[in-house]
Amino acid sequence: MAANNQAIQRSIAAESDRLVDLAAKVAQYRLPSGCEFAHAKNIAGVRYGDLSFSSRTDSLTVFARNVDYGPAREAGAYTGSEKLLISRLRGALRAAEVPLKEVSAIEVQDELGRAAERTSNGRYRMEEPQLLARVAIARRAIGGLPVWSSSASLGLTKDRTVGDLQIHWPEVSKAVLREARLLADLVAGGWQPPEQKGARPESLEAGVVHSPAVAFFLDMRACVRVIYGAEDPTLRRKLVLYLDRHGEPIPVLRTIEGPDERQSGPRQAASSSAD
Amino acid sequence: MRYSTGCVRDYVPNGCGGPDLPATIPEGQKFRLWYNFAGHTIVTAWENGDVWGSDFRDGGDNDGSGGSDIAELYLFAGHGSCQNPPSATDPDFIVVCGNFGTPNTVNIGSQSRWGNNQLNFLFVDASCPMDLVSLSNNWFPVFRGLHVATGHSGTSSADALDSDVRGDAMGARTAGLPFPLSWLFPHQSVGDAWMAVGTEDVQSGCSAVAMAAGVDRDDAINRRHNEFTTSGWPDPTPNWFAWRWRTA
Repeated sequence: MAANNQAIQRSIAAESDRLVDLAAKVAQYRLPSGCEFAHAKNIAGVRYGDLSFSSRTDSLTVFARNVDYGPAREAGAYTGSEKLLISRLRGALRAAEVPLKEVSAIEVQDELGRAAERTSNGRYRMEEPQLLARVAIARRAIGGLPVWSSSASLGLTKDRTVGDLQIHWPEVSKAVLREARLLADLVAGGWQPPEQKGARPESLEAGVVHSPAVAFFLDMRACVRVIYGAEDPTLRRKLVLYLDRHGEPIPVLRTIEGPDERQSGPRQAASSSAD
Repeated sequence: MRYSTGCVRDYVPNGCGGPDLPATIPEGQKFRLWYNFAGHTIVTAWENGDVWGSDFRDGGDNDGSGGSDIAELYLFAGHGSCQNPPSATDPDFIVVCGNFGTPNTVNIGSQSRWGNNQLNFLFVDASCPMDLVSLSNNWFPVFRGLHVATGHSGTSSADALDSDVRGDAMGARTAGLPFPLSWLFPHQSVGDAWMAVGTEDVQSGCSAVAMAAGVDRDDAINRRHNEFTTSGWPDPTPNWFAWRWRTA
């Protein structure tokens, strides 16, 4: 038992050191060796002061965060050049050993903010919008096939250090890619999506979906994504179907499992206040 | 914290036009699993015809069987409705397909008032009904103790897609997972989480919007950025409003 405990301690120390090294390489976080280490479920991480760095054990997925990052926090948020943000994100992806040929695009999204005061006459006095932060976001495609669920994002502090970095770029198996290519061929060959009442197909494309970054599972599927536009142009949230080669919906991708405690209908009104 | 969800997949079978939205059901399930895992208490979790229009109208929202103002947090997943493109005076709507409590369309600005009972946080994943151009008409009046609300602004060509990703990720990132998952995975304020995940699975040009009320400017801005569902802050007096948005 004592030998087992020693082996476990050695493994944990080695993993902690590996994460400290990775944090330095990917996020330029200089965390001291022996800083706080923790692991739970499918993720392990290290942290020191305001900085944390964690990595999933089942996927190329990392999170680097400065808890003081943000427009209304001490470390602030960078609002400068797009070029710098894109370059820094590309560097982080390279350091994390993401194949750069899979980066299909990097865009910068601006976050804006505004405030308004309710005046004494019941009206509102609006302030001008302000640029609060800029975030670089990378999207993924493999051989032209989009991997919709993969992404990387980076926001910097006002001092240009990493404020919030997330990379979720799990390995895609050859079998999944082979199926995605077959589906792309089907689409190119005129594959027709199923009709849906109240909507018309707007676009269809073959690609890959998988479980998100914050999840205890990593499910992955090739599919055809069909986006339907509602016939009523005022109705929003577009129907999307993720279909396999048979035109059947793919299974729901897991993130967390457990008992789903909810009522079974039909519902009865508790009071007469409903219409 | 006590929370509720209301998720509407079935519009066509119940005669409400369409299309249906199959991802709303797993979206609600995943959100609940994260919140349950974090130790929060579910109040109601109705689906389809058991989600009523009256649940979102002032008065009916206090119905103990499923009103949106009887818990501290409510997630709605379903259709929204807005003009295309919207103007400053156009209303925003939540659209359900209920077997009671009709009409199914709720005019948010004129009919909804939240927080005058229990609600602190409202997550609306229905695409447009938080149009930036009309916030003062449609959203300022509804804050009656409500702390933070999230939604989307867009058009029919810059729309949110039916997806379980946003509700799932909002659950994972805002619930406050047990230690050490609470720092191994990101634990974010409501505004930060929605900026991160509200632009997932949306069309280019669609904006994720998070809005807070406060007693003064600093309070509203602080809540917009820093209020967690677990903060336990008191209800704000809605003298000021502060909102943030990110456009895909």
